[in-house]
Amino acid sequence: MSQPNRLEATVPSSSWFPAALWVKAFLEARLLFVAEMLVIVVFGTIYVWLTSQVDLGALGTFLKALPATFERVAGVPFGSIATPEGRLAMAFVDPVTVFVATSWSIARGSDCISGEIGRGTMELLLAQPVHRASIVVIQGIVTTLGAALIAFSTWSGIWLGIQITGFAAEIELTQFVPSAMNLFGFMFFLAAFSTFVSAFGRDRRRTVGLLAGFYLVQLVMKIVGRAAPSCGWLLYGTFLGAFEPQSLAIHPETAWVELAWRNGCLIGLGIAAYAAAAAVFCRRDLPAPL
Amino acid sequence: MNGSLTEVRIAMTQKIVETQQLTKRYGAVTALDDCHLTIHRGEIFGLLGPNGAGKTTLLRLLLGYLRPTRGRALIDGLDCYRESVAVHARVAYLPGDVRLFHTMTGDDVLAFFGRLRDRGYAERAKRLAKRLDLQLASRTTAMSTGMRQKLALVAVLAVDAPTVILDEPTTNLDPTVRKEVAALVCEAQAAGQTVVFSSHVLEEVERLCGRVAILRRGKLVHEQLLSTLRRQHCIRAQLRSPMPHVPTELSDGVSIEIVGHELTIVTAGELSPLLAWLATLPLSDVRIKSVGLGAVYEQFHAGIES
Repeated sequence: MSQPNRLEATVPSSSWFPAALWVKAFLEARLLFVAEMLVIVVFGTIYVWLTSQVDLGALGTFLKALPATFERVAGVPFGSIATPEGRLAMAFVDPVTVFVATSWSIARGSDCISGEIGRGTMELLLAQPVHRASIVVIQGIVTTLGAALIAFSTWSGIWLGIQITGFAAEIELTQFVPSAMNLFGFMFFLAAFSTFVSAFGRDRRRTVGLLAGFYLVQLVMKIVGRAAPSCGWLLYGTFLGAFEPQSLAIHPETAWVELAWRNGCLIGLGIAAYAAAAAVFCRRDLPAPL
Repeated sequence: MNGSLTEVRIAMTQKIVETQQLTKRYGAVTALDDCHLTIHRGEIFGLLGPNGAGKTTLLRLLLGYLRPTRGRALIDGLDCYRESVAVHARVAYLPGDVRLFHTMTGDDVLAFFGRLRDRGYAERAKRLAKRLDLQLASRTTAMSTGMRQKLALVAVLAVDAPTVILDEPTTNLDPTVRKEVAALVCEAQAAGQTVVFSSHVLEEVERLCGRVAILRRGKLVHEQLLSTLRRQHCIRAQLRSPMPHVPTELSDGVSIEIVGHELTIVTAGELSPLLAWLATLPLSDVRIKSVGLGAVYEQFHAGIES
């Protein structure tokens, strides 16, 4: 190395948002993102086609036969579900949609800190002139963009299904925009909370396990809170209480007001979780790789 | 951070690395205890000690990865924990257990670090990769352990930073590449860089370093200037008759031990006057060897403190 004397080597100024971290975050997220977007678009299209095959009158009769508890858990009157808008609205809380949304949020959030530490790559990454908080912020922004696109893809899948099948072509599709935005709020909070849990960990599998447990507890709280009126207070303890996309689509007249406070809660809590994650990560010791 | 204030602080010091009462505890376990250490600009400084002695803890404290329980570490006058980003701009670090981004190829890895460093990085990295015969097109997951180590070495040594910290850099490398790495370390020093070097290979440390610190159970137990050590020799011989008195002009800096007929002389200074005197003694089976770092290391490793 025929270098000049490095005794007074010039030191590059550090940046809060270096291009290298953006490129790395996009590269790491791209495969999961493309796979999830494809799944959700295809699912939305198939969901519309399947819905078009169902006799809504018969579905209404069937739903009326179910106990009232089921109706309370569904969060919307069964009468509304047996309409084209109601059926399509339920696509936003279908297990496939919820699985795609949770897997994106938990996978990205858990990878941000505990994943990088567990793989041992945080060592070299933090040896560079980058702020620890930048890692959380950049990963958070990429995850949030992905969440927004996945939520939009859910809406696009329904649009595509309607275009292909011609089912309920008279429906105003803007009616489902608040639902898609509520799905985004759900993903934003869950990704932020996953990042917060990740900030304490050094093993991604453990972080994912903890988050799966957290999600199940929250889900049970929501179901019990809904099913048993005496336990309605449980709904205040679960973030899923703010996730009601089906209700937003079925009641378009109040949808935007409801969306404002529901997403206000989810996004507000999410921002707090990201801030807490950054604070924890900036102060913690970086453990040696496992 | 105030840039001009930083420059003033850097200019004020010729010691580039300094630790003061540096201590790291994990509950009841003390990984590093009250470490006072100074490393000067342009030195190649070695850290020695068995596993668990605190070498890696010390290096991780210098990198700001760990919050000191007590004391502080400074690089270029900057606090390693509180001003870690500014410190990292002045440090190139090779971890002991290198893990690289699994989604990247060798080229991607160097491009990634290049974007975070100065403009000349890419060119230096390319030159080093060629010198170490590194194939950059493969994914890091498809590389052998030695190739990954070489890639990490290229990524670190291409950084134009005043301080280079290498934690066991030659682990997993074949003898040819080890030699090349040793040459690169010497070139880094010649270019004005300070190299902090942790290793288990005593010969390597002895050959490369100007000064070493020996750690034992989290404590810095000894600092050794290698130039002093290189002047030290141990002479062993069999005495055929009683030993005469040592001339006064030779007695300084010489320690003599006689066990039965076995004579051991350890000298810290110039050997030639002593050799002339030895020639007059009734000796047989004379053996002369340099004391070497191994002997110093063994002193502390075996728990005998001088």
